[in-house]
Amino acid sequence: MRNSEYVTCGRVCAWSRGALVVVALLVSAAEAAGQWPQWGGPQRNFCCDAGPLADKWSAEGPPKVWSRDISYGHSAIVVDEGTLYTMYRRDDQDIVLALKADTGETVWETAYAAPTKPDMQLDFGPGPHATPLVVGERVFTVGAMVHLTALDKRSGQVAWSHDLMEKLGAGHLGRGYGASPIAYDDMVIVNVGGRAAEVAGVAAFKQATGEAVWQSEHLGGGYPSPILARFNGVDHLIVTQGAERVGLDPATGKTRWRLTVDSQSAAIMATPVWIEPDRVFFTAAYGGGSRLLRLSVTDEGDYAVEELWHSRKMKVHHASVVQIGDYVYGSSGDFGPAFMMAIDLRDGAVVWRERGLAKANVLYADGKLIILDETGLLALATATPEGLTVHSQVQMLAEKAWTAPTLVGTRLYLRDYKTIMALELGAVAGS
Amino acid sequence: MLRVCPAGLLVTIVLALAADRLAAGGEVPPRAASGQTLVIPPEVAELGEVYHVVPDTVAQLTLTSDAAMRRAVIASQRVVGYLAAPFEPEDTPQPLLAGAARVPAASLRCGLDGMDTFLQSATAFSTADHPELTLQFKDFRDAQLESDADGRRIFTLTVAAELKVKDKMVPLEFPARLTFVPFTWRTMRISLGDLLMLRGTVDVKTIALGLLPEGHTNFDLLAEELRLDLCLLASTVAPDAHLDPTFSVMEYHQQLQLLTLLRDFRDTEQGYAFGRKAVREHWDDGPALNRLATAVLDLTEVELRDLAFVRSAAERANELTGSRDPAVLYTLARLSRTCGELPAALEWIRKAAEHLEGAARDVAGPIRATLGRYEAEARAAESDGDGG
Repeated sequence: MRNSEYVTCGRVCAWSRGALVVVALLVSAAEAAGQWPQWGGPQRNFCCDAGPLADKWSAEGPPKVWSRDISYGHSAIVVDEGTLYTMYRRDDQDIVLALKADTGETVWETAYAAPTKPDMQLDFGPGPHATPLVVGERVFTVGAMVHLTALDKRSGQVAWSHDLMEKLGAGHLGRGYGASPIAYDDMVIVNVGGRAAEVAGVAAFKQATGEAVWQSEHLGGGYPSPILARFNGVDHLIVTQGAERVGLDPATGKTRWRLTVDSQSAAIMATPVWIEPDRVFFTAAYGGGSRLLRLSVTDEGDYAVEELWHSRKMKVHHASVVQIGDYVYGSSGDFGPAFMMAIDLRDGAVVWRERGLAKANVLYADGKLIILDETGLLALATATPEGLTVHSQVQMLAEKAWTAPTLVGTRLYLRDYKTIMALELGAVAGS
Repeated sequence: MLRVCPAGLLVTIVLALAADRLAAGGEVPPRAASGQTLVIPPEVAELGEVYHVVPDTVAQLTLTSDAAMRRAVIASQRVVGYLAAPFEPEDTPQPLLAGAARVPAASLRCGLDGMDTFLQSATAFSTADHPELTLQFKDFRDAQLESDADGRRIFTLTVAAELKVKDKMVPLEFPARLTFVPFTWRTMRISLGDLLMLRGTVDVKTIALGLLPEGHTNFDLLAEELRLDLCLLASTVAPDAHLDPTFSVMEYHQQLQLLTLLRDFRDTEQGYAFGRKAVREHWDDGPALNRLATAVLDLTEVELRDLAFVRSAAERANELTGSRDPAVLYTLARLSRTCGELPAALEWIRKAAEHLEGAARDVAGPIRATLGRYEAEARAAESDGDGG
């Protein structure tokens, strides 16, 4: 573990137009407990106010409400007003799919051409990897070839679309674009990132028209989805691209703080976690490990970011971890075995590790962890600093089940490359 | 579950007791379904991080015979096994806690025909009756940390082990060097995962190994003492880890099992019987048949390849994929070339190149390169013909 140097960028803004936006988003998220409108859930942190959930499942697993075929893709499932939205791949097309949440019937499908690029590595498929975002009457999607598309959520009609590789020089990152879009105020914000020095790291567009609003400074691109956090009375868009850990003003795209970490941590995919009131947690596989940064304001009024600790022990490969109190729980491992692991946020120490599940995505609701490992094994568990207790586990999907699960109320939505399904996790599941 | 106790001493005691129990235990675990790892006993997994021995990277086990009239270096690159190290090495002075390995007797070769035949014979390793040697680590002691920089930790230690050759158990004790190397972008060229390397050397009586009969006195061709060098690279990523989502783990392990029989045990009879069974299982799955064909075609030792097997699997794969799958067409091209049929090879590779649209880079690249090479060979053959 080591402390890094302070890095400061930008002046502290006293208050901004968007200052109330994060608060407003959180309030609306709490009101809309029946929604999962974006990557990571209402608060983009894989924790949700859902349930009550059964304490255990029967040997057959939770009741299956419906199940149907789907094709290739890692896009997670979002839920809005009784409709599910996700993406999949058919030949050279990206497909945006809307389904009835209660039956799985198709509401609409919208396809657009998105041929793969000759310089892509497609051994893990052509995506889509990013998850749709629902705001108001719109669904926003980004495919692996970086087409940002706004659709009418009721009809699937395309309102506007940008080929961000063509328009802004966005990078497909070899395996296809993967960061999920985020809403702020009247904008949709996406990672852009590309090799050329003039390519912006992040860009914002008007939700209504697709008009460009701002572009950030150059960043090299990255898979982690950005998050919003509130610190010092203003909103920060926390962006992770390669070795850069950056805080932007979400209203303008101006950099507020930036830290460059070691290159081993550059192949990061997991979404960062904001830890109130002033810390942000990052975790990366491929030898990167986890680190905790703390934001502060200097006497000169600049933002500063400091690395509190860095440990190679927890190395989360895919997308999700959850924070509960002083601990972060997640699946640590990349090419080799994966351990369910708990680390202490105060010093990065491993509190426990548990074998038995493959590399997994997690979400937290009603005091329980729902774990979906890449072999398709779904588990219900309780995680505390003392250990992990798995109450039930059942094979629900096929390998590779890399899509993070979605929970709304007591309904869990899952998918792999062939099947999408809804499961009932309420009290009936345990009977 | 292993909970991490802040009291390092307690961790040390618990791990030491567990490791002692393991060392006292008997048999080396069997191979897993893939043949390329051992079944890890739960009590070993509980001890700490498991590093799987990575075959095919170095001469892992070498026996050097410095006889009066011949020097022979007998080596195997097909050792599989594991070594367990503590999760929290800072909490314990013990850098290794358990380990075991299996060595196919048929893989111990020196490249001298007569010598290799002798080594497999009933007098020496008696491969037919005893297809494997086993190595059970019994103790790791006197560990000293020599250096610790950038996560790379180097220890010296004393290793005690039992080498079982045929029915003979040979106790070994030797000084060793142990290096832990965390995964970096550089090390991934060696192997994925966090790595360790265990190296040690010990002299062993040839008669004690059962390679010569008791009372044997003529050491002109095989020395009285063999120098055994152990050089085990191991990784937290098992050599049978399946990273390709386009086909199943079970199918991948089936391929590895075929290769284990053919390449490691050099048992073509059992190997191709297994292979034919696998072909029957996948008779309606073109890509799976192609992967079986490729596995055999890619064997580096020509005498282990059954090209009729390759042809049967690849032709069926081609039939199933409508002569449009570039990977299958590429296999047929290489098969034809291997059989000395250059015109046919050219035809197949041209067809493969015609179907590259949408193909992954790792498929398209080799096909284009091979097309160029075959065309150059055809031109050369033609000009030779003209000259003649």
